[in-house]
Amino acid sequence: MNIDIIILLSKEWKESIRTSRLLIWVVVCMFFGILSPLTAYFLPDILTYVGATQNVLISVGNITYNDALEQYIKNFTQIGTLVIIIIHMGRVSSEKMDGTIQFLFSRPISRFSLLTAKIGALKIEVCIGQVMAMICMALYSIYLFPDFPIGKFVIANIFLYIYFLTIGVITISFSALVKRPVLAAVGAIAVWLGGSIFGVVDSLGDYSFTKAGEQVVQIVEGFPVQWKPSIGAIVLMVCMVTIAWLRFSRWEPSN
Amino acid sequence: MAIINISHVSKQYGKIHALKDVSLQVEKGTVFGFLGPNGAGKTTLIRVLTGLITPSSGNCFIDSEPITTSNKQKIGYLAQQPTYYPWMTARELLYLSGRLYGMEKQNLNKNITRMLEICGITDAAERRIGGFSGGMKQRLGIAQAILHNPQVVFLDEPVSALDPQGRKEVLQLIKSLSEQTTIFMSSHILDDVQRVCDEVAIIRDGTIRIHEKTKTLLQTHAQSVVECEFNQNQDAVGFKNELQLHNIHASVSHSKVIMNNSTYELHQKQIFSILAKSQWELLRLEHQEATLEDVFMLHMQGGKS
Repeated sequence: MNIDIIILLSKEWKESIRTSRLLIWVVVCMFFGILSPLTAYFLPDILTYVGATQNVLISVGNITYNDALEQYIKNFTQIGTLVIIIIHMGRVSSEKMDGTIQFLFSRPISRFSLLTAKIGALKIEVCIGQVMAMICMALYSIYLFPDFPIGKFVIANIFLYIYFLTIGVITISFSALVKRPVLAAVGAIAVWLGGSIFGVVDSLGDYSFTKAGEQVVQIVEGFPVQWKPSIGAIVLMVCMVTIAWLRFSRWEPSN
Repeated sequence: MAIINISHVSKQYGKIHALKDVSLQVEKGTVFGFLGPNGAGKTTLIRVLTGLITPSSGNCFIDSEPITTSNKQKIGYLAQQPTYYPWMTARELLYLSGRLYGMEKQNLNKNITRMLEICGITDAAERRIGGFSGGMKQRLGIAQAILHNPQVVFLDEPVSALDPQGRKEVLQLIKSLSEQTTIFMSSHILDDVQRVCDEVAIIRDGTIRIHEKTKTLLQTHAQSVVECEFNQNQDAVGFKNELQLHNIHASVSHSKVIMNNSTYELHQKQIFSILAKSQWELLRLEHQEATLEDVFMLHMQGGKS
């Protein structure tokens, strides 16, 4: 790997720690990792309590680890997506706005190196958060649901990682394309919603990156892995990074 | 030998011509002052020379090589409003800068300590930049620009955020650096430029108006003046009117009558005779040396007419 990328990666890593970006992501991940199995396990008690206060009898079927997994995927993919967009929307555009990027570009480093380092740091950060979420989820699930299939859960999380990584790469790409962090967030949310809508299109919709995360429950249940969403995610990431790099390489400070 | 060679550089932003066919050569070891009003194109040219922006046409060479990403080791740059990562310490920023310039880890730490000392921020070395004052950021900016011993240092308004004491120290530092590097600095503070720069260029509306050695510029383009200050403005006006009757040209400004030194020397006897006969209360009669400000104003007014 190019030495510039390693130096910049180290800078990005320090920045994530000092600005608490990594901490926020890890806390959010752990929160969903812990909350999902607990919510599923105690759901009958919660509903019984709610029903009793309103003189209604609510009965729930047998709770299994699948309920915990569904909670994990639904909550984590929605809130987690927004958190990723928020914490990464200024990754390039804030540097453009503040002027710190001029400090970097007056040195012998290419814009490609900077973009690569930022995406590299994103990969590591998303991975750390997700590993923490996975550990929390696995520990609580094994304790509450002894038949929880840990091996399949780990494999399924790889696809959830691809999903989050795609969201992060889209956000950073937009951040390199636009001037303000909020515009990067709007762009990323638009692609995310577009991906969800594309997902309902017959056959072609199977390539929507949003489906990469959604298949976690199926994989844990023993269904075969669907590769199309991952292929779609990789194609989308390559396209976004290429567009961002082409535009970013021509970017000039204006203020 | 010219270390900076700018050849017919133009930069256009839509309909705005920020630079118009600028050509300039700067000799090695020079402290070069780049003057001009706001929006004249000073920062644009410095950004072109540091490779931050690409010219619409023309070429720039540093040490006979075009400016590319790989040969930016040759240059150091201090931005007009230096902004650095607020979460970093001064030492960390210099370390990052040095590493990006390809400096070896072993020598880098020694160089950083020396540079912090030179720039007077040793005490703040381990403090986060977010808490730095404007002056400290400016000193840190100079440190990061010269850390790797570049051949040319570009300083965009290097003393604008400093107090008088800090300004004096930084200007001394800039002057001392000229022994090892070429300095290209832009400034609004004409007195500072006159103090440290060997060579000066004035830019206006994206065009170089004048480019000369500072001494030559002062000798040829600016005239020293004589100022006669009176106790009251009406005395000054009266004196000026009396001079006019004798065909002696002068101007009045805030109870001062100002005339060119050559005019004064030519009509010295007459002037003293007029003053002796009058009742005006003359406070002082003083010879003022030509300044860069006179040259600057001359060229700014010249452009307007």
